[in-house]
Amino acid sequence: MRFLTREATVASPGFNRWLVPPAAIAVHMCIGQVYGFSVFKKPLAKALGISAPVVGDWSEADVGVAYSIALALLGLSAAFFGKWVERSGPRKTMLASMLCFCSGLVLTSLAVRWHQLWLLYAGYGLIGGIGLGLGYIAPVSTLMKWFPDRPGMATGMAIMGFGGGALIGGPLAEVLMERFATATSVGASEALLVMACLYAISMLFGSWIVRVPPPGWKPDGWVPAERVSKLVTTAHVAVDTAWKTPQFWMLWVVLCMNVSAGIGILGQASPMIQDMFEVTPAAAAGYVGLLSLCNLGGRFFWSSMSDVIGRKGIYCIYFILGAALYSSVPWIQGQGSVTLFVVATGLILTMYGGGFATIPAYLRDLFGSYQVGAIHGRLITAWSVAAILGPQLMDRLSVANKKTMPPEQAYNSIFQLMVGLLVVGLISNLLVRPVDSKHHLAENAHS
Amino acid sequence: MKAITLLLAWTWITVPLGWGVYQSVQKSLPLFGITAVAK
Repeated sequence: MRFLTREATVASPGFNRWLVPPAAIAVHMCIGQVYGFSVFKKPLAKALGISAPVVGDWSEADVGVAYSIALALLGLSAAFFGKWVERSGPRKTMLASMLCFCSGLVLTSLAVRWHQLWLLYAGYGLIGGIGLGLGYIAPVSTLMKWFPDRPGMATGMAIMGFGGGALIGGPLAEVLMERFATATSVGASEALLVMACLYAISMLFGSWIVRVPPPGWKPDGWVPAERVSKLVTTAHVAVDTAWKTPQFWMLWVVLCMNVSAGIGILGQASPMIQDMFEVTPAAAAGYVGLLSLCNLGGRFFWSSMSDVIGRKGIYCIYFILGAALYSSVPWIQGQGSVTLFVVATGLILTMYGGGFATIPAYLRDLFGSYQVGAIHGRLITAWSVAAILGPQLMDRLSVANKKTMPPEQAYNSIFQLMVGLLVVGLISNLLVRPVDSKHHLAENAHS
Repeated sequence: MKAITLLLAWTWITVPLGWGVYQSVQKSLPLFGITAVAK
């Protein structure tokens, strides 16, 4: 199995580094399917009754638990396996991710066929979730080593692929379920099997073409700047040290607040625009699609911009502009302008995506590239926390508000809450200082 | 050969991503055809 070792993936002279982003995206666009899992909710909630739910069918909430378990396991496995990922290299990790994620889909298919809820949780949530975590961090440090001149853009491309996975996974599942639906089946089991096969091929392709740079490799003609910013270090910090520094926890708060604020819109988008403006359900669905595109585009645009503006500066933009936009939404509603509302919330969603995509480069700036994948793995527990708690908080607040006020006003306190979260994120970001040199590894310890 | 590999790799990801983006654009079209009034 030498083919899988890190040594076997070292690029030969003349290798084109632009082959690495498609390898990373080939994996990320598969595991990003998790964002499109909601399309299975309704079909799985009538898997027995076929045309309508019957006694014994799972509820949509039952099915949704699998998604929450998967997101929790994404963070936990990324945190737990981060050091193994750094040791093993991207090829072995991508392959392990493929085995977990795709076998998770196969088990989910069997869970639907045999109608076993525990198998759905074990397959999609537990095993599939581990695949998500491994796949998410697998290419991060490799990309930043290939693109030391543009680390934000490089990781932005991969993480954009994850966002793109939602745009592919949802419609693909719908097309396949429609194709396989019969009088006795909603088609979900068959659709999941086909998706497992397609994703396995794509992830295998990614793990086949990925390469790591030889030690000491630099892009032709690139000379590292002597000192770009006090926050960009040339030293390295080990993951076991990094997570004990205040800087790690400040970035944890930064990511958690940024994600929570974006989820405030994403989770409520369809009912929100229908309650606040007189739009049809079809237009509301269109709004959700548009937000997904903004999320996708923001991942590449903002993370690329961070290479120019700097990581701390770009997060200040996310938080200040985000808070200003959230504050303006009640006024926009008063003006009755759907266009302005869509532009404002779309912009917020670009920064939500940007926050995900910029964080690996921020970590590299502060802790160096030595174990940045493992450090990133531990940091994305912030995402798991935000992704599970955030929507619960928003749901409860909007439901409680709708009992005491007209639906069109029920979202104002949510927007105020979002502003508060963004201010907390801004303060945390402003407090970020360079990591104390006592945490840096000795020169020969990381080579 | 290297150019073909590069082209194949980028095609591999841009085709499904392009399809996903197209699906989302299609889905969002009704939004642009509306004339809404605030309640």
